[in-house]
Amino acid sequence: MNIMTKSVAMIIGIASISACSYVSPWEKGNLARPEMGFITDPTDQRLSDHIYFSKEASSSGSAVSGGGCGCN
Amino acid sequence: MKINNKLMALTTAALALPSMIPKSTQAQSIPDSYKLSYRFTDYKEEDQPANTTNTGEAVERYDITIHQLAFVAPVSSQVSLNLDVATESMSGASPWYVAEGADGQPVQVMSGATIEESRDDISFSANFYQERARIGLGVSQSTENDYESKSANINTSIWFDDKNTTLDFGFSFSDDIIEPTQSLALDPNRVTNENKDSESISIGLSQIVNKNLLVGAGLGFSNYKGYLSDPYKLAVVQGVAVRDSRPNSKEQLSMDFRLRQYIERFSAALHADYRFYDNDWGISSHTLGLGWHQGFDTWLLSVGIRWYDQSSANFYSNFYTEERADGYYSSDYRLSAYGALSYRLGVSKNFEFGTFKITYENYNSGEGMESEGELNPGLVDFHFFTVGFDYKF
Repeated sequence: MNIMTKSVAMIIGIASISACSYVSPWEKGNLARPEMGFITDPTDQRLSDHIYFSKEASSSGSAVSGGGCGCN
Repeated sequence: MKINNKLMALTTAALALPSMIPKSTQAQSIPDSYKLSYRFTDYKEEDQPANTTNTGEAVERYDITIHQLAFVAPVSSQVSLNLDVATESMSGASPWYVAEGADGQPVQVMSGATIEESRDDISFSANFYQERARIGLGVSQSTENDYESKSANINTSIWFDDKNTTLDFGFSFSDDIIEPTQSLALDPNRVTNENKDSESISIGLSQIVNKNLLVGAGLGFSNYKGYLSDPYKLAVVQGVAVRDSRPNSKEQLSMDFRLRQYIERFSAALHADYRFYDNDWGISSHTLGLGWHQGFDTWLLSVGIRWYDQSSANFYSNFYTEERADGYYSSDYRLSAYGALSYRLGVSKNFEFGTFKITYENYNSGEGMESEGELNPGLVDFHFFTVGFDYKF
């Protein structure tokens, strides 16, 4: 599958970055800031995910945002 | 040089959505304190405009009030428990079916009476931390008077290279029961008891590139089986209203890419997220998000935009002039081709004991890149306002 191939290539791409980058634990101050998280606020994110899930056709395929119909 | 090219590709592809990628570098270790969070949200959809309805009158759509409570408890040096509870109260009318207007234009027929309902959601999870890995187990249940969903998941993170690289795997499944209740007298052919279930697997990888740059990618696959139609919706075929009818299976794939860049000069974090989605009903979508989180002492000001665009399901139509051989019919706006743009503003203030925050989001949908012919008249616009706090102890 073409999409699958591209995705795997992307993931390998990211993995290959690791070969050349190393950040020491004491240099991670900025990375540890809450606003640098992939998800900055899990509670707000749950709600946003549920709203988008119930109003759009797409979802990210995990149960994180909670279930429910969202039919209306 | 190769690395630079790949980084360029990632940055141009850019920003994303939630879910399967690890939450942040903080998630690499057990939370350092107990945390209690509360959020109140007032969600409001814009009225269905008068010039798009069959009656020629504007109709109020959904208003939802949401309370969320979250509790994080690091009960030992290796175990953290999470409890999330939410309750929603909804009222308003929703799109029922699309009819052909006098001039051949599609017009929206709304559900007659105002619907009043509520949804309660509870999730519990436990995370077990080791030096180089985390394993999480979770269960959740969502209950409405006509719909119950139960799900469970297991996920793990493995850290390599002094926690510069994180690999994630997840598996989840759900079991839903649909028992439509409202006004069977008006709609005697409505289903009364149906089932659907789903399974999802995901894999994610994130990498610290330098002391200010974090990137991640994820891939997810889901499989749905059972009753996937909307029991409350109808579709019009050759002038006759029939049940909304969709295939009884759906497979979907999503992949997302995320980037977090800290800009020391401005004390700000730049977020870029992109998700591609594809399912075997013919719907594919792109979601692009950009965010700027500006720190001022103990304040954080956040602005973000989100662009969404999807193609339609191959059996979707506003209304049907011919019968379909496969018998699938739906005029649900969610299955139509459209685009949406939203923006978000947020302010948070940190105190010694936690954080106070306010968020506003405005969402508007309309023509998209794949739109052809008349748009679905039921496309939704909404805005919501959230206020809340996190208390740490």
